[in-house]
Order: sequence, then C-alpha cells, then structure tokens
Amino acid sequence: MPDKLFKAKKDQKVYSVVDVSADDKWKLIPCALQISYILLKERPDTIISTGAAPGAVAIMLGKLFGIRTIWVDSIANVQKISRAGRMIQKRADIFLTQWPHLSDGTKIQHQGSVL
Amino acid sequence: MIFVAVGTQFPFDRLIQCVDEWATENKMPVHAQIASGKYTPQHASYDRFMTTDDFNEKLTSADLIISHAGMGNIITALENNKPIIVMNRQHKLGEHRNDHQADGLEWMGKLSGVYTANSTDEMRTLLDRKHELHGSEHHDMAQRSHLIDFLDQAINA
Repeated sequence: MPDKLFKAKKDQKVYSVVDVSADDKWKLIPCALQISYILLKERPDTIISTGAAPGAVAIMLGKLFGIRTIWVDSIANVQKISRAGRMIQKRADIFLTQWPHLSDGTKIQHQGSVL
Repeated sequence: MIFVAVGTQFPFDRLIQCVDEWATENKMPVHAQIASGKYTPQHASYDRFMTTDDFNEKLTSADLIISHAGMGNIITALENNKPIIVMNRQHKLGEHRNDHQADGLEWMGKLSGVYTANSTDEMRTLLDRKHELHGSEHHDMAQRSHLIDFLDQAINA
C-alpha cells in the first residue's frame, strides 16, 4: 500500500515500516532496522501491537530497550493464537487474546474484545 | 451503490470478478477497491488503494458492503450500520498465507449485520437477496469498553 495514503491526525505521528511475513523473511532485517530507529528516536513508554510479524519484531526490540510491551492478538485469530503471537508470547509484558477460550488464565489473558 | 473492498495486503480477483459480473447482469452501480489485482472491473468503477477519507466516503454512501473476511472492514461496516457480506480467502488458491479467514467465517456470521459466503456461488445467492440484508442492530459495547479500560490502566500504570 502506498505510504502517501496514510494521513496522520493532528496530534499523531505515523511512521511506516516494511511489511514482513513468513513468505519473505529477508525483509526482517530492513524492518527491524526501521523499528529500531523509531524506538531510539521516539523513546516510547509503551509498545502495543495487534499483530503480524512487524509487530512481533517491535515487541522483541522493545524488550531489548526496556520498553513496556503489550500484545493484543487480533480477534481474527479464533481457533488459535496467531503465529506471530506465539513467537513473542513469553516476551510481551501483557499478552491478550480476544477470545475467552484461548486464554490460559495466567499468561494469556482475556480482557474484552473490539466486538 | 455496492462497495467492495479487498484490503491492502493481497489481491482478491475471485471476489472482484464475481461481484463485477453480478453487477453487470443486474445493472447495479459498484465501486471496487482491488489492491494489486490482475482482474480489472469491466462494469464497476475502481481504485487500487484508497485514503481513509475516500474509503469512508464510499462506505457511507453504499447500501451494501462486500469484503474479504478481514476485521477492519467488518468493524467499519458494523460501526456504520451497513450490512456486509464477507467471503474468505483460500490458502489453496494462493489468496492468503493460511486459512484463518475460513476459520473466522463461522463466528463472523453470528454477528448481526454480517453475512458470510465461502464461495462465489454463495456470494451470488446472497447478492440475489440483497434487499433482505440489513445492517447491525444495536451492538453491546461492554466487551470493547472492558478492553479499552484494561489497556488504559496497563499503559498508565
């Protein structure tokens, strides 16, 4: 999707990064470099992601930089936690699923959903 | 007007072609968002990608939304009380990385205002009874409020 289609609202700042997936793992490197740059420049208190590989990369790097990390697995993952979610399940400070049946009551919490 | 949107990640020619052909036969105005699709609509007007503003404008002026089984479009349609028909991408046809869109179809169909098709035949059947489809009834937002409150506390802790 062309970057110019993104328009940040007044008080928002939007960066875009290279998408990466299981099909094109080599993009992990440019993606991770871009995310590192953003984290070092902006120094956020919290990283929150609803998923896919770039979000998982951000959580891993966030842990490295001592930033609080929250993963909200997409409501689209109804049968099992997403692949990217499983990768960072042990690393995220807070790990949420939007489905009660996917919660294990401890590490994987259910705290409501978007719908 | 019908608005059909396939999201930004992948093309979904099977859906676009089906809706475009149905619309030609039924002389129904359609606007399509087709991403990098190879099939270009013969009847419908189309964009490959759209800004959020353009997207919302098309969505609000449409009386029916058709979409791949992606959460963003479903949520937007529900919030605007528009009926939406979703068709899942199929992994075996190279339309997505896995079959999570098929897995999701069952619970999506339980949402008020959401109709599901797992093939172009089912899509056509639903389009033929378009006038019977209705937007979502009042949604219980308790689950969403709970999630927002939890995240608010977690972020500000």
